[in-house]
Parts: sequence; structure tokens; C-alpha cells
Amino acid sequence: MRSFASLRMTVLWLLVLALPLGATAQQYTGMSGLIHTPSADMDPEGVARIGGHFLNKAFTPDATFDDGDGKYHTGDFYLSITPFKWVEVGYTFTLRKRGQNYFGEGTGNVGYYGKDRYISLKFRPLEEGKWWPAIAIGANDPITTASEGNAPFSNFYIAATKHFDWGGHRLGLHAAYRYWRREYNAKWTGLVGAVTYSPPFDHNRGRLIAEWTGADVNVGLDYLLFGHVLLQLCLQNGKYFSGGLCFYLNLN
Amino acid sequence: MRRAILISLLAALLQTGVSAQTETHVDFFAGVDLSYRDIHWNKLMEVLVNVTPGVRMRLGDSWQLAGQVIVPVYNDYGEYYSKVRLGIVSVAKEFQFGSNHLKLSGGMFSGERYGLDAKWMLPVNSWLAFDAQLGLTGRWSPQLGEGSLPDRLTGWGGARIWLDRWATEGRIRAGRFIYADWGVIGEGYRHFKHCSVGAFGQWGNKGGLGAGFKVIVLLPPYKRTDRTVNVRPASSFLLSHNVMADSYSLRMYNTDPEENEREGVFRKAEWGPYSLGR
Repeated sequence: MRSFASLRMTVLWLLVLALPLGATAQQYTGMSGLIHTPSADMDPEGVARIGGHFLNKAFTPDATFDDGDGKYHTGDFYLSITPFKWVEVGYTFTLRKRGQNYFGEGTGNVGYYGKDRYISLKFRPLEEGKWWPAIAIGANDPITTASEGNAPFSNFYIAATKHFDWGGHRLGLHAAYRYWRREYNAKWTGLVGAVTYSPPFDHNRGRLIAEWTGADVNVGLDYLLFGHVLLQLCLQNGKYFSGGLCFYLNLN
Repeated sequence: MRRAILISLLAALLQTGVSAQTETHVDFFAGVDLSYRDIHWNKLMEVLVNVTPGVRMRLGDSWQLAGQVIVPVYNDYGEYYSKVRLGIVSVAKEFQFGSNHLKLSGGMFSGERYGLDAKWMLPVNSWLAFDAQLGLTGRWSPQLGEGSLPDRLTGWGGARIWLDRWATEGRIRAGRFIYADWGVIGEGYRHFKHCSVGAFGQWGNKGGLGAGFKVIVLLPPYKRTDRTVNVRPASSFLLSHNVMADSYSLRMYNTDPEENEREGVFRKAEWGPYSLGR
């Protein structure tokens, strides 16, 4: 408990002090966006990401990430690419607890022996202009024929993003409407939104984020380290830490 | 029919003698072959890692000898894949008739196939090309030391579209594949400086619908000095992922250890992605 409080303080200090904040990410999915919510921001054409994320148990869907003793922390790993400036594709594996050899004789051991996998798609038909926002439509895990216990991250959205620049500062306003397929994720269905801020001294590398997911308020930051390592840290409702790293590379 | 094809391919292969031995170049290379399968909900991945050293002798007059050995270094796939074995041993000859490119190969191919193979490509213009492959092969398992007669006729015909402005390629091909299944494959590739990323969708009469993606990463050094003897890493790393975890539908063998969708199979073809260079 003490170590978790210490971690929380560390993240808060980073949020306050590490203002050098640019690349955009709904990083737990490997896609561009915000923290839990999507935006109409896109990676530049040719950018590929490969990385992983720690997902606090408060961050994941309420069903399917419960091993009988309650929800558990987990993690994911992913690969994504923006082949053209108007489309982005990602593939994500999220670890799930299972009995070892669950479908066989079983060993009695329970661990991260299972996973959920999904494809993410995002299209941006309208690029941001001087007077209008960017518009994107997308989905995580859009196609499934499986039962209610599967596709826990399945959702569809339309998002709008507009940035305002002054004196090197950049303010981003983001709004989206999301529909989550599974009933147990209904709390996230509806209008969501966020405000982002990038300071003038590190305009292209980092940003601060405050978002409303429909159920939680998340604050966090993105920061691009050494030009190729994208870090995202967040606190959900000021309490629950999630975060991750990805290798961020422009293939052009 | 099969006998006629066999005789035609052999005759064409032998028609031209090995000449210009002074132009011989030898490449020694080694790559890593990473396979993984995700077929158990309760197991993260099963992984197979092979080191694949190979050799290619360019003998002049567009003749080539190539070989590759498979050396397993990590294996979750089971005993069958644990032995050091021969991957490819082939002899090949390229021809060019006008705009037509033709490559004939014979020997042991990947996918435990041996026999004869012909590949053809006709660039019609800067954005359209037609291609085809025809093979007469049998199965040979180096692990078991057993196989079948080379009596399986496989082949496909297809068309390719190259959108130069976006360095993007669309491809469709249909035919009969090595497990005697019929089907059609549609692919799209976005080519970058040293990397190509593609997605494919397929339908086969045995495997049904399928889809996946491929990533081809060209490995440095990107500028090669062509000495008489060259020692280098493999030219590329290919990752192919089938979301249906189907490793049997619409499969074809490779006749060359370094064959891939980016660098192609014809050394002289300068069409589409092959014009991008390394």
C-alpha cells in the first residue's frame, strides 16, 4: 500500500514538474489518441509503434478480467502502423489470468496464461484545418462473433479534435461519441472528451492530458524520449496508475 | 499432362549451358526465422526460432545455385521441428523475353517440397503487371527421410497494380496450392524506405476465409559491395501473421532462401516495389 502511494506521488510529481511534454496516444491500444478515450489526432504517415502497457485493474472492463477473487492488474503488448496519413491499424494482445493448461488436464497454477487479442482501425476522413476540426472514425475489436465473455474492448467511435496555438503554447480540445458493444462496459458509452496542453519549449514531444471517459477523470502525460521511445503515464480518478512505453519509429 | 510439364521445365532448364564462370559470385548469409502460433486460449504463444544460414552462387548467364540449412535454437512446436535439416537446395535460371521475366527452378524448396517450378511476370506498363507460378512437386521430409512422388501440380495466375505516388501495391492471385486446395488471395502493401507492411485476405475451398498481415524489414547493410565472395546477414526479415492461425490454406513454397514480396524473385525486373531498391 505504501509503495503504491509512493508511486502515485511520483506520477503526480511527474505530471506537475515534467512539463516537457507531442506524439499522441491512446497508448494502451497502440493507437494515437488520448489515454482511455480516442481523439481525431493521427500519427504521421509511416509511423509504427511496438510496445506494452501496464493496465490497472480499475482501467479494464469490469467483466472478463476477474479471476474469482476480484479484478486483477494486467498488461498488454501491441503493434500498430499508420500506412497513410488517413488510416491507422493496430493489433493488441491483453494478458488474462487462466489456469495453466485450462483446456487440458490442468496444473492447478493460475497465471497470465491467457490473452484477449483485437484489431484496432482508425480512419480520418477530414484533416484539421484553420477553422474546422479533424474528424476520425474508428473501432477497437470491431468484428467478433464470440460470446458476451469475449471482445471486452470492442467499441466504435467518432471523434473530433481541434488545436489552438498561441505563442508556442498548444491547447487541444477533443470530443468523441463512443459505443461499447458489451453491456458491462455501458458506463463508457456516450460523449467523452479531453483537454490537452503542450508547452512552447517542448511542443512536439509531449503533452498533458485531462480526459473524461464517461465514468472517470484521467490525468496523464505523453512524452517522446530520445525521438523513439513514447512514454505515457496516467492516474485514473487521481488514484490508479496505468502506463506504458512503446518504440516509436517513422518508416519513411 | 504432368509428364509434359515436367519434360518442358527440364528442357528449358538444361537448354542453356553454364557459361561465363568468371562472373561467379558467392554470398554467404544468415538470418533468423521466427515462427509463432497462437492456437491456444490458455497459452500465450508457441514459438519456434531457427537460425537459417545460407549460400547463393551466382554463376553468370543468370544461373544460380542456392542452399539453406535450418538450425533450431528455440522450439515449442515439438520434436518434429527440433532437428538441424536442409531447408532449400535449388538451381535456377532466369530468362527475359522482351518484357517477360521467367525463372525456372529445380531442387528442394521450402515447405518440404521438391521438384520443378516456373515463375513468370509481365509488366504491362508502370502500374500494371501480370504474374503466374506453376510447379510440379512432391513432399520430402528431411526429418523423417520420407516423402511422396513429385506429382502435385500447383499454380496460380494473378495481377498486380503499383501506385507509385503512394508506393503502394495491390495484388490478386488465384489458383491451386501445395495442399491441393483452391482459392484466391488479395494483398495490399505499403512500401517504405527499408520496410514493407501489408495486409491480406483470402478464401480457400478448404480453409474458408482468412486474413492477416505481413511485415518485411530489410536488414542492413543497405548498400552492398558485390565482391566475389560476400558474407552478410540475410537480406530481410519477414513476419507473417494469420489471424485465423491457419498455416495450411493457400500456402506456396519458396524456391529461394531470400524470396520475399519486397525484393521479388527476378533480379532484372525493375517494376513496382522492385524499383525501390534496398
